[in-house]
Amino acid sequence: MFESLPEFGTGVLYAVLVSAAYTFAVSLVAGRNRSPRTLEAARLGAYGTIGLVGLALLVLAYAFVTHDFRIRYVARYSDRSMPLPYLFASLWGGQDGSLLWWSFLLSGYTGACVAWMKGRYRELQPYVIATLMSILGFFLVLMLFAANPFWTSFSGARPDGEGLNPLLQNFYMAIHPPSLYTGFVGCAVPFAFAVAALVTGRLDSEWIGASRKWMLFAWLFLSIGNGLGMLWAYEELGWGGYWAWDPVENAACLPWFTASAYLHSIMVQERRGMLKIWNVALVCTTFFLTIFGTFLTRSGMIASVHSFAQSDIGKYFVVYMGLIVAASAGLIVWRLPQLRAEGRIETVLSREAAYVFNNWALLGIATFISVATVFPKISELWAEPVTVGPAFYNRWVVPAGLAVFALMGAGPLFGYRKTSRSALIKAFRLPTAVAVGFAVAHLALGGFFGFPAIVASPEIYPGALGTLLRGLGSLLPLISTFLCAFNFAVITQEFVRGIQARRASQQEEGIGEALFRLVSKGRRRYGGYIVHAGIALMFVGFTGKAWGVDKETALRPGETFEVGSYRFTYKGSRMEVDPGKRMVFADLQVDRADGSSLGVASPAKFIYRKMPEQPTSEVSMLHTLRDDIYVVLGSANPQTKVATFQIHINPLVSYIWLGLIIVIFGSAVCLWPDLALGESGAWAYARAAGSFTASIFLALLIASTPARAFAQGSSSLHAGTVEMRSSQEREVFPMLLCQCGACARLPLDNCVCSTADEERSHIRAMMSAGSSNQQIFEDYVARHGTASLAVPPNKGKLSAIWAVPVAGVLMAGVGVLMLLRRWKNAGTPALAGGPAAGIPDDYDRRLDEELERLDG
Amino acid sequence: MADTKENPLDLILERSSILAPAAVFLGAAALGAFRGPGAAVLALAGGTLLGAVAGLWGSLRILAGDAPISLHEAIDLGAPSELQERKQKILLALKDLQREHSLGKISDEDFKELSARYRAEAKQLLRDMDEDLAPARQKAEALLAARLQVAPASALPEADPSSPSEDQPDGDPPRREP
Repeated sequence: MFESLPEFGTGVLYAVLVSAAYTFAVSLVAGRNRSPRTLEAARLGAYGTIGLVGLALLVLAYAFVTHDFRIRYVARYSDRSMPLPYLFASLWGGQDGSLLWWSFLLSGYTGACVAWMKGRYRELQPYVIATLMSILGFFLVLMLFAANPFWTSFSGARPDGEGLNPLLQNFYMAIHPPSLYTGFVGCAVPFAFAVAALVTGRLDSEWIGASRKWMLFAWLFLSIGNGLGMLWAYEELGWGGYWAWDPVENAACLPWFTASAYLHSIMVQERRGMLKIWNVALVCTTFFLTIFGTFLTRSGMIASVHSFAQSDIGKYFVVYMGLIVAASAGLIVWRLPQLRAEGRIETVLSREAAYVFNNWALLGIATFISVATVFPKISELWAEPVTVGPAFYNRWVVPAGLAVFALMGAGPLFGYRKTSRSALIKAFRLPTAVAVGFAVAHLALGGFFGFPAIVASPEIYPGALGTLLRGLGSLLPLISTFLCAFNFAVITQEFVRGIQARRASQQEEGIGEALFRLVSKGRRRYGGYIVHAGIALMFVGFTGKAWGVDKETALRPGETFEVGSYRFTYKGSRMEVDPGKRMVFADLQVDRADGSSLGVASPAKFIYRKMPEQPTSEVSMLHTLRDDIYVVLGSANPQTKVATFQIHINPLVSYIWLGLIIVIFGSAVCLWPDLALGESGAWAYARAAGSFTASIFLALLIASTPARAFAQGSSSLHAGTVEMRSSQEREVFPMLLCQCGACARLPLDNCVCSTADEERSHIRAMMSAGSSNQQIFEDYVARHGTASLAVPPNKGKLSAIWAVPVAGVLMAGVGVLMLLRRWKNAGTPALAGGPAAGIPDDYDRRLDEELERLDG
Repeated sequence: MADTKENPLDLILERSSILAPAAVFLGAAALGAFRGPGAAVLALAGGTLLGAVAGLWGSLRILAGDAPISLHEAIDLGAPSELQERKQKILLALKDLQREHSLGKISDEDFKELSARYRAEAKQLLRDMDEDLAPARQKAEALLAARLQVAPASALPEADPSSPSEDQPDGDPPRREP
């Protein structure tokens, strides 16, 4: 009946391309002749195109469900034993399918956007639709000519498929990529509005207002997607960390930084008509970065654990990225006269100026990460091949992140337009006092509780720069404590002052009601503060990394082992079998220092039927608010009953996931629609309840994922925990990358393959012989080349990796200061009508009514 | 001169935009329960194909001039004026000022000065907008009065988009029903 299913699928893709081209053309005509009828035709054309994309995806889903192994993609990423949810997850598990998934999500966004635009943005609509269709067209061309998911195997249908990589068969794989894609693809809508605004010349705040919530939605899913990616790495990969600075991870977080900058800077344009060029450029950059991220994942240009199989689709992306840059830059230059700032800044002590600095810092980090991510490729061209590992990023980017964190705390203390000095001192007084108090307490008592304020920090460079960075690294826990306390104090103060102000004007309101009305009347502002609180909580979790403990041990049943304040008793091993694999579990009873039981950790080795030569490690974790007990089974000898364990005590990690949940809740508050005219108070309550319920549901979903993922089980390949027996090992292993070829970027403190084992033995022998760190590095480079170092040497052209972005950020900082100075010197603009005077009239009444309705 | 709402085909199409997807999902769920996931996916694919064809067919009908769009839809396509945008910006500025003042971030003097300036500008914009709207309002009132003279209010049909009169949506030539 469906003998021609692959051809039908390809035919549907061609139909989508034709339909998208038709809709693109009709949209352009609608934009040119401004005819409502043509616009309606374009809208319906968009709906038709969306339907066809949905059809293409469903045809592929049908092929997976019916095991149609004639289709190469189906044969490669599924097999007959896979349960139904993973068959659907295979839709985005490989390159060709993920491109169709990208198109499907873009179609979903297009449909939602077209429906949402009904009745508004008449001038922008045609060009928004045309832009979205053009993006869809690119992915269609890519699929049809380079990565068609319906292509058949040359050798015909196989009896069974290869199956999805076990690494990808877990709950996170089912939800992490869709979340991240939802964020990536969502950035296309604000980009479409920006292009439409540039084409039509309607560059006022209309397109900003239209695109804001779309960008916020995309930002939320970028946050969730990156957060789930961290969870996946933490729970599944077995190396005890959550962020490895892999190029694809970097690419996923770059649009998050630019989108965050945009969400702040648009407030300046909305209120003052300033930063117009900047906002358009930010949206275009964010969209460009989403395509760049997709390109990085798929082109295989830079070694990454996330990369799909290498293919030739990279050149299509390069051309498309060139087109995006050329079109965006061309349109911006064309509209420059209309993009000039209307307003002037009264003083640098204002929220507007704070936003400008915030943007500078966010873009600074994004620039730094971008340069470091592509540096290996650049260095190949004009110096020697290098690799940039986690040690480099941790040393450079973390302090920059804390600078943004500081600005995040200070920003809300400034008022829009003008903050008097006395008000500013008053605003800073309490948060600063609280932060100083916490910092002093941390210094005095941190060591007693196992959280010292100053920690040992490895030196990544010899010389003054290395010493400076090392000193900064040692102080990071203390600085982070200060800034976390500062941020929480600022947010609390803002809420308290808001409630006080509200109760001063509405004396009958209780504290709870005043809080509710404060947030519901200023969802954007207070939702933003809630997001800030979530991010501050995540920083608490990030800081915990400084106090992690790693140990490795071999135990017989009944033996105990102590790590930190926990005692581990090995109870024995057991085997379970299911149709797909054999599972060897080792049970460890974990007790606190006071003897109370924390639970049983059961790390395991899974031996998959299809990959018996590659047993996989299953992490077992016990969570507390203070520590995560993270246990990996190294081996379990069935004859001697001896099992080896890698034990990791990860302090404060739970706060990262808790912070993510609060970020989701805060974003939901910001996203909730504005009150329409005539809505009753009861309806406002109902919507608030709906908002709360929706965000709690999403948050619970996130919160429940660790347990579900653990229950699902998955695999790790080479990533794992490695015991480091001395401070010298702590300094050396993170700086050297494994050279086995299968894990190009894993440092020796994380890689557990046999090659890494041999290298560690060699290095330990050198250490025993008294070799210095520098001698060990030189020996390693002599044997494996400069690219085996996690941090490119600070010499010659290679210094550009940090010198170029640092110089760029500093120059941009000088530029920001000059810009603010110019704006300030331009003076206060004269306002039409002059100061209001005289008796209040009907216009005053109308104005007051509109202000009462306005949600800000 | 029939209203589009009275055209049975359009009425069915309009209602089916909500009902049809629901029916397809329910049908797919039922098929999935009895015939397995493959049948459910096929049912969804069939429904999606029908939806895609309906969308493209509707688009081509409009372009070919076979389907009118309603006055309501045409009015919905209106765009805010530049004055409205400026007003929104100033209202936001005033709101910010009020909030910052209530939180003690801006002194009383600065608040009075800035607030007075922005209120003056906002009021001027409201006046300008009223003046801008005055001719259109007069025209609408005249049209309504003329219409009321032709037919009693109770007998007035809903807005007729295909009427070849001055209220035809902009950009399109007047269209006559056969």
